[in-house]
Amino acid sequence: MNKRSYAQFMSEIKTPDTAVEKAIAGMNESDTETAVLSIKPKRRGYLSVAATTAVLCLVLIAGIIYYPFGTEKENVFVINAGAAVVNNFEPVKLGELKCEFSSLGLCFNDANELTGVTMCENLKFPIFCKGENIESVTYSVKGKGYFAVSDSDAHFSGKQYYKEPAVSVFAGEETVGSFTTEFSDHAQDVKLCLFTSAWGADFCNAYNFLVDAKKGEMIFGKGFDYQQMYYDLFTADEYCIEITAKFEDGTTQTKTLGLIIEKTDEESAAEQDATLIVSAKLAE
Amino acid sequence: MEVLLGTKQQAEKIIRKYSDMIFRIACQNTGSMQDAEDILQDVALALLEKDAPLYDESYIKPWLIRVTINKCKNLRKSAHKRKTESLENYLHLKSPEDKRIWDDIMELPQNYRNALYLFYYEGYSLEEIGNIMNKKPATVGSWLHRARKKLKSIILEGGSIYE
Repeated sequence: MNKRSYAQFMSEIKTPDTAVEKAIAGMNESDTETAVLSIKPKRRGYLSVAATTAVLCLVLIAGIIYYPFGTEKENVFVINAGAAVVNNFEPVKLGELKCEFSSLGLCFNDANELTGVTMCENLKFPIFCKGENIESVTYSVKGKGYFAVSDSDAHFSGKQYYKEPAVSVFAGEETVGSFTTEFSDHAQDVKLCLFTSAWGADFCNAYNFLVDAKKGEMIFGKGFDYQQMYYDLFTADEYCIEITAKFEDGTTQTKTLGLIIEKTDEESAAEQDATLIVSAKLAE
Repeated sequence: MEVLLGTKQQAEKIIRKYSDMIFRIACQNTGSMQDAEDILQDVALALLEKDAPLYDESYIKPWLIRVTINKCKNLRKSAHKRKTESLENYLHLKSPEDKRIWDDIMELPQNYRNALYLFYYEGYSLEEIGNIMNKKPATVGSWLHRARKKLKSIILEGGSIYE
């Protein structure tokens, strides 16, 4: 059974209309009437009205005198993914991952035994910050994953190198877990690399494949489903990005983006087979 | 003057929106249609009676899942037994494949079924499922791994259509 047949099967299970209506009728019959409040207008004497008005006036005058107009401005920033602002309720699409064998890596020990598989995918990092008085912004990948930045680009400072084994390194690029850049109202030329791995022989058995260590080739058993394995691996790990804005007054503010990796919906999945959508949402 | 806060209307809206999800979880936990319907009613009442986060979409869905699973557990613990209408009849399992899928799912331990559903159908991450089910993400991961393995072994034994 693959995920699609499972999902299709589950989607066919629907609540009988009568059951929903019964449940709602049950709610309406319950005596939880806290929803309705009765508020009756009260009569007040002229004295109490005058006293209340006087107190309110005093509070208002004191507020006008002591409010620090213009002395303090709250430092805030928003995170953009391209033209869209990232929020905490609707995921914003960052890019797509195409399920291809080129992303798969095989790891062997000295005895030529398979120790694990890795997968790495890159996508253009479309994130940038918007706000007033921002001096610099630091982007850090938490958990698995890293950034690939140009090793000759002087815009990036405070780089913390990513030292996970078996990551893809390209000529002219450095792999960093974190970097700082001056404030800019557009995305930097940076790649976000999502890295995932699974270790142990059990993994091969579960997905029904063998590896010929000498040739470094995979031998596929019946029912081997690379797309499922690809999906399982990328969704088993959690990826998030911590973004810290440093403001001109020296204060900092940090927000965390959670990355969501999911399959395209049924219709578009049929058109472009095995594409995973990567989107981001602000963590609570 | 009467002020309507709208709690019931809000709860009704939520129940209509998530009734299928509650029903699916209840079906695969209880294996009985009547029980699943009762669970739906219980969850609807709990929405009103308990301190449910009615106005927060991000909390309400996990809250409903948690309450549904707990209600199913309570029902299982109770000595109360009832006649059950065959779910197979109700679910209109048209093909032998559908019937087999249902049988395979029902052969899995309950936690595996819930984890499988939340991961593959509702699209929750391991950590989110861990939070909902009050387990570590690693535990949920191993449930999913074992569920897949078990499904595979069931399939192989049966020499079924899924190969």
